[in-house]
Amino acid sequence: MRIVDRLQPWLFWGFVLLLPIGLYKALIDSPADYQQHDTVRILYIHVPAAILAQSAYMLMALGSASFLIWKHPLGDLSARALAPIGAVLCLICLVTGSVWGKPTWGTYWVWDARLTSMLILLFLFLGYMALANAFDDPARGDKPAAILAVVGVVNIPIIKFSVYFFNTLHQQSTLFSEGGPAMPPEMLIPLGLMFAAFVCLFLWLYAVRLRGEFAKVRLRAIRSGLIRREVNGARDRGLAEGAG
Amino acid sequence: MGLGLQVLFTAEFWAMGEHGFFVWTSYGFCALAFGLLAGLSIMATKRHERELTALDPSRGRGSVRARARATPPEKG
Repeated sequence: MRIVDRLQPWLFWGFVLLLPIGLYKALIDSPADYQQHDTVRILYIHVPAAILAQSAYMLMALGSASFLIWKHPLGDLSARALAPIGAVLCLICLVTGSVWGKPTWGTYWVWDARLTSMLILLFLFLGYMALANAFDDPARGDKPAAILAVVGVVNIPIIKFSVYFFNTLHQQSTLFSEGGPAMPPEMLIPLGLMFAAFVCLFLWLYAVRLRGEFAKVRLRAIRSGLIRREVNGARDRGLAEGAG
Repeated sequence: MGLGLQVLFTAEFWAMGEHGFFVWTSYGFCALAFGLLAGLSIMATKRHERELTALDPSRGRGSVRARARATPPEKG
């Protein structure tokens, strides 16, 4: 937690510094696309949100796996902290993609393989959060939620390869295509800057939420200790009165 | 304004070549979603840390302040 506390201000100021530069490059400096015109500027928030939503899920699944295999409590805390961030990133990706779809494809939504698998990712994040918080004793939700997170990993390669395996409206990857990114530097630089800003924000939010989860667990431990002490005290008093 | 920021005061910039609705809706939604998430996360974390320091003043950041709050100075 000391590392998290130390990194937090750096991540925040990194985001504050990178965001205006990224926005300037994305909205003012970069050219419009010859086909999609100015709607291409949605790319600069849609792509970082999509990449980070999937990364958040992978990290969540790794944390959950470490919790299931080695019973490492930090794995569970990390997954709990990541789930809402991943859900919001996924929602941003879906909403911006949908808004971008109207002028580009002529529709806000199609049950296309990429869009549907991304929607399933959102449901996985929401399902994880619902399951983790479904029990009166939060510790009981840890294991089922971790299993769901690990099983859901199967959706990540489906998202990635959906544009290759299925006939979809969504274009194929331009960033990670063979022979390097199929994008001019005038667009690649703003995308890189916005991605860096999103990474700083993502990690800062993760640090904030991790601190919160850590405090929540300590609170729970202290409270259960206090209750146990009270119960034991009452029992001892009852025994003493009975003996007297 | 040497960076070409004067473009911010033109109607063409906000119109985004007749696609302003799509571009600004996307950016607006993104800002709103992140703002809400950040606000709620900070509030929840602060609440938990405050409760923690109130229960156990010897722990955590700001414990000196929490201890001072827990034991108010005697009057007189």
